[in-house]
Amino acid sequence: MSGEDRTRVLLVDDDKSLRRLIGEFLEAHGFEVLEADSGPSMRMVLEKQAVDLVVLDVMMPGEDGLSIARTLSAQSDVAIIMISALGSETDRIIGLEVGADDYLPKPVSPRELLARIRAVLRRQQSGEKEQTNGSVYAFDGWELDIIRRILRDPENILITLSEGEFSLLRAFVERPQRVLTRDQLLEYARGPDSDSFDRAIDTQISRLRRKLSSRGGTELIRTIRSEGYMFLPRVIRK
Amino acid sequence: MMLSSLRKPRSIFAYTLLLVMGVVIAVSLGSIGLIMLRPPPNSPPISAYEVARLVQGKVIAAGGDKVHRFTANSVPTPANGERNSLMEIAVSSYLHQAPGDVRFFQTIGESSWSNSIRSSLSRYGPRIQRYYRHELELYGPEGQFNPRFLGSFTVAARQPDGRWRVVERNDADPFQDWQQATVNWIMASVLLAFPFALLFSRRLAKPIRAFAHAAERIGRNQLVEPVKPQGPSEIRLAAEALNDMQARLQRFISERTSVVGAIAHDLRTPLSRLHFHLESAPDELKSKVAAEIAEMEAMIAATLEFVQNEGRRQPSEPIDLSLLVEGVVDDLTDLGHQAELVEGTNAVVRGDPVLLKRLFANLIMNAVTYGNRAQVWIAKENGTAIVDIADEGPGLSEEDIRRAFEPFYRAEGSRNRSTGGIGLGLAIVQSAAHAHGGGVTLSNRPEGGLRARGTLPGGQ
Repeated sequence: MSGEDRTRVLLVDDDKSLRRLIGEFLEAHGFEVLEADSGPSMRMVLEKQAVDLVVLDVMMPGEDGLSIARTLSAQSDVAIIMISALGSETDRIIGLEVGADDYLPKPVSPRELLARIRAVLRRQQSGEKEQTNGSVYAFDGWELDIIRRILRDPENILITLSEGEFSLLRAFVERPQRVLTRDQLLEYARGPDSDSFDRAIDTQISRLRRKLSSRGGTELIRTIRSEGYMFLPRVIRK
Repeated sequence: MMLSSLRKPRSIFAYTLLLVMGVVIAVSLGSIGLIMLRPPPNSPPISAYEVARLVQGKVIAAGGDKVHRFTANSVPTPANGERNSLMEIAVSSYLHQAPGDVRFFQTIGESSWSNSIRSSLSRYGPRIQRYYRHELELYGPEGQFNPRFLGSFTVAARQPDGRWRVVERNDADPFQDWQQATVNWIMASVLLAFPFALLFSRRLAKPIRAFAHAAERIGRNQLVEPVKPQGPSEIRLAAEALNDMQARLQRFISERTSVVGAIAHDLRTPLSRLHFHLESAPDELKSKVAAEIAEMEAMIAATLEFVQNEGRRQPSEPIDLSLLVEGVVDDLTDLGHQAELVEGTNAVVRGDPVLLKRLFANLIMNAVTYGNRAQVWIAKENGTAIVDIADEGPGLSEEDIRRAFEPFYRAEGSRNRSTGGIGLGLAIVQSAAHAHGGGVTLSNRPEGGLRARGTLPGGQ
């Protein structure tokens, strides 16, 4: 990501000074930054040159960020990160459902934005982009909706997991019927920058298994001795 | 005809009038018909003279076929019999015997339930007795006292050999027949009126019940279809008023939501800018200002959440409550807090997962923050799920417990900004519990520390 091959980011926000501040920050971290103050001007920029990623404010006068994201993600597979002052759970879900790759609540801290931009770009490069097309994974009668962060048991009862267990389960259902080592699980569930606490992951896996078996009954996660863990059922993406 | 006219909007007034007057008129017509059409009492009364003839074994003009004659060694005492001294006087004079040698009992005759009701009432009521007594005074001296009698009786006369000649007459009192028929008719008319009353009441109650149900759901902030105006005109008016009210409420909520959104945007955008301005600042300043920003953001978030929850549409889904609470406990444990689920019972409740998670997260977080350690129990009792959260803190004063759920109220001693928040946590907990038809209470534990108890209906 250096020299001529710099990643090109388009900032769409009606607040000029915030746009400039974010822009300066991203430029300082090696990105090429373009700016637009509304949906129409964003489209004009996009006509002239391709970008890798769009950072989009939700609340803008005229056409709002949600409808911009919807048309944008339908037309191209550019990565989209939405920034919203509303930051409630519902807003996050709507944002992800209209096709954003990630959603950040305001106030945005520079470090957080940078981490999210890098994570989204990494996911895109490894070909995991079309995750918004099917956000529901079905296995053995269970359903996991990764956007709504909802797990339903075979009787359609809603199961709430802790944050750690949820990201673990997500890592499992995205890679079913494969042996996953602790390190892999840690990376998939927490991201590569996470501090490794190895023992915590064992606790969380055993908690996750207990919670799943308390409602389902059948074994879903098997321990493979001295190797790691395997998610047993077949997973269908809806 | 009646049904089609019911479908037109009518007022409750008209409905009730129609029902009451309809039933009264129908029953009255039936009664009038009964009185007019039934034959009058056709069995003629028997006079004292005729009774005397029966005792002597002679024939009488009419009604002599229902008698039974026999001779007894002692005076008969018929069941339910009542002596009639006037008849005894008259009959004995016709028999030319001393009044003491004649016994006359009026009897009930065929036993029927209406007779047994009347058994305590003398058929020779006071009015008739007075009349015959007067007759006795006037005609007695002339030997012309001859009272008449209706219905069943037993008469006995002492014979010269000391035995008694007995005559029993068994004849249903014609008036008793008539009374019986009237009573039967009244019972039948009550039974006849019942299906009509049922129909009317149901037609009347159905729209009122639908209306009450809708009003109750609006009260709990649930999405409600407009109430269909149907039934009596009063209910139609009320339903329209309710729909208007709901529309106004919705407008108010959506206006408030957009105002809240604008405020959030206007406050959080400068905070974002502040974050980026800080990038070039020295590290010491950066961490201090970042902490201030985080605190302001926490306050904005709490206020917004409180306002938004109030007008929030409540999705209602079956949720495993014990796993939800356990997930909250696990999240806090993962962050290094002392939280523990001591006892969990499987309980499924219906509700909004986001709001319920917030409810228990706030309660357990409070216990961890102010009471060092949170211990959680989940139990079920009579269809109610109970979640108890105990801490090891100093507890609260009575005053604090009473006011703890008031928005922006903070217990004295927790004004410290690092732990104090802005006093909305418990207000959010309470409104979330109420939105689910449940409740939340605080109490000091006898062994020290505070206990928060959340109850939710429908623990299965």
